[in-house]
Amino acid sequence: MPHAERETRLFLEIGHFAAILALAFAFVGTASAFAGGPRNPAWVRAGSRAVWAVCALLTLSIASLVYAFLTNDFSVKYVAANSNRILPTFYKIAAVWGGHEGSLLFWVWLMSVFAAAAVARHWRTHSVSMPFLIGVQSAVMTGFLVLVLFLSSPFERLIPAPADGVDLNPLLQDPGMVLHPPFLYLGYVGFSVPFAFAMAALFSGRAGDEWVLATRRWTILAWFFLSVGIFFGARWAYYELGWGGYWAWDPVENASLMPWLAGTAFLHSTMIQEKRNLFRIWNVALVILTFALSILGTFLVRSGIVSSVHAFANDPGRGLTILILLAVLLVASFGTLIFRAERLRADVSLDSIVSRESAFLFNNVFFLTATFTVLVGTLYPLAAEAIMGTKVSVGAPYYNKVFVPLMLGMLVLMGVGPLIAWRRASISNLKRNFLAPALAGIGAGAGAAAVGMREIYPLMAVVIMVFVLGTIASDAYKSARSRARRDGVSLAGGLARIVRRNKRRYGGMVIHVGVLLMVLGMAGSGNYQTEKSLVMKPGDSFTIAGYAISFKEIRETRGPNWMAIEGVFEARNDGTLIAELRPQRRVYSRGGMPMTEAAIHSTLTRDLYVVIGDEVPGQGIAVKAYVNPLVQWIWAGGGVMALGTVIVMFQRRRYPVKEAA
Amino acid sequence: MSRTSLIVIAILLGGSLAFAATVDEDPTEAKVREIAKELRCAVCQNESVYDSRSDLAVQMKELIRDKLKAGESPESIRKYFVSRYGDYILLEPRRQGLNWLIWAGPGAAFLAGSGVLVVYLRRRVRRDRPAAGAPVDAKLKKRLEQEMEKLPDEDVP
Repeated sequence: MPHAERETRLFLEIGHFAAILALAFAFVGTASAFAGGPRNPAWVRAGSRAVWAVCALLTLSIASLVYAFLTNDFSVKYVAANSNRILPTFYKIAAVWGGHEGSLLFWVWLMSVFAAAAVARHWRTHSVSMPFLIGVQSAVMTGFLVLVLFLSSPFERLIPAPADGVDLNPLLQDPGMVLHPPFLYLGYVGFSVPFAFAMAALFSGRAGDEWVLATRRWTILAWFFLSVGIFFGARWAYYELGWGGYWAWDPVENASLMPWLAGTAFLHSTMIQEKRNLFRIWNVALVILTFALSILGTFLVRSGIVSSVHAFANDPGRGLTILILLAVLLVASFGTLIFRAERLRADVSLDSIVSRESAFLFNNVFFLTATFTVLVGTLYPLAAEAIMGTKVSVGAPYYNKVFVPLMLGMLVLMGVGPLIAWRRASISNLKRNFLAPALAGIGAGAGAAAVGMREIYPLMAVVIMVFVLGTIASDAYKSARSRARRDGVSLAGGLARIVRRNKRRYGGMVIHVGVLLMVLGMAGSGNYQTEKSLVMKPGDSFTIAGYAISFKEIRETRGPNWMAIEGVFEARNDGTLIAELRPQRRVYSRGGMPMTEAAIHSTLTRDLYVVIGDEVPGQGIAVKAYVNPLVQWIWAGGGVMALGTVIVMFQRRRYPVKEAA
Repeated sequence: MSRTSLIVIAILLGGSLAFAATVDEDPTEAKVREIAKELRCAVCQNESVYDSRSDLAVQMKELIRDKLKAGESPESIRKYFVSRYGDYILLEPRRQGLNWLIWAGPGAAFLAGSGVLVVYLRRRVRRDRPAAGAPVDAKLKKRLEQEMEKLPDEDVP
């Protein structure tokens, strides 16, 4: 073995050793923090150093794995299975989290970064919670490191080393898929901080409201990452899977949606605790649920227990281990909650059912029902097979039927919640805030019906969307106007001032506007998609939804690690050429099923979406074409939501710098 | 790849030989799509027969097309596939037996959640708010008396 090669290989061994040390430190962190408790600062300090050590060691581990990929070290089993010499560098780095073993190590590494950041940020301000914060996070990391090192080690060697690796799963060779898993994981592990703080509040017995204040930004950050992760996943499905849609209700998609739904419920209900000191037990339960669902999400994706297009690894042993970790987490955290619940009772009164407090709670009912629906739908096939021995499928047609009414209900609350008064809403408050928007919504619905819209759900969506937009716009307008008058500035100046003064409220409103845009896109593309499947030869043409599409030629093309046949289509509208579309069918050098590359021409009103399929001998090539109305609004809505979240995160922290002793 | 290349060449030749034509979807295709979207491709990972490119799915689509052309109703075609593959083939589970769990579950959960919430809210509101016409509650009365005592005598009318 040449000297240089031996050195490159050595680095991975250092990384492996670092991961083993990290496990030891994570265990030490858990033990010393819990043993020390708030009365032994020296032990807690040791625990905090252990957290730092875990973070540093795992960073070294990840670096060694990246290095193994970059240097084509195919003596590493994981590298050989997920990379090869001609894989572009960008995807070599992405391959670190492209397979099962690496993605779990990546998960723990991100968790260690969050843990270290949380310790650094709250060390001075939350000394009472600190030991438990360190203990809980270290315990979770210990569990996952055991899994990584003993059941799914990315450091395993392959002897003799193959001359070249297999390749990264071609489905993953897409920029959207490179970003999707890290953001999802950031979301999942991000919820570990609010979870650990909530646990710390229970353990320390000082279950007041400071943990909610302290974790406010962490929660928003985790929610933001999770949303971005889901968003990239949807885009990837739309652009890469070539079936004309963006959400298939696949179990793995559901796995990421569940913590998002529960996290959204938590995000909203903490606001009641913050403003009114109510529902403390409920909030702890919600954050436990959210983090548990994050782990369940990891479990569903990684165990291969559910049948999915995205289940990239099947290993029941690992699945069982994650399930055991999940069970321990649930029993330990809910157990603690039950024993400590008495300390959380708040002595604050509730004045009326018609109030913002109850609007928030109804938000929770909706979001938890949605979570429950997805959970039951995802797990029911497993249960039916285990209990009755029958195989059942729960697919997109089911969810589309059940979920749409829930979403419409959530939208209505989205309009009501932010404007209804705290404590008790008077009739005049209700009239002032909701009469005009409600009339506008009904008017818009009547207008849509008058121009020929007949389907009930789209009509309801129009009414509700206009209503919600009306509430947001009228509230912003009224506040901006009064601020403008008081300060003697223009209306736009007034708007800028109210947003700057209350970034949380108006950032939240911006997020709601983003949701509306997204719903607009979903309603349009979900209800008014046109599609055609044809068999064509070059020279043929067809029309779809008013567009004339002609098939010009078919040719071969190639990329770094794939070859493809490419169809060239021209789309015309009233005789004018609007786009040349070039869908591909790629065959990657590692073999396997050919991959579809859709050709998409987008405008604000619709996407033209063309894919080519298999040859039909003697007749030509199978072509599928879709006209998807308003899809771009979904992506735009995602952008607006991200903008709103950034505004919210600029809100200054509101907890006192020193935790009361 | 060589097979694909040959086919490509064949298509290229075929394309140049055949004269250009306007093609349109077979009128049964929309019905085929409707049925195929609700059937699971039995050999795939959670894909519908319509979306899958596997051989089995292609054959199933052919079969649906043939049956539709032979005049069979969508319902009898669905029944045919269920009799061959079992309920597993249906992406939308039938409303029967244990399946009611998932059909009724979300609605029941929503009603139960809302019900519990309304009862809880009403009870809390009633507990927290002094009943109309009743004298102020004891705690508040005591507090008021304490405050009154603190006031200088002459200020009390």
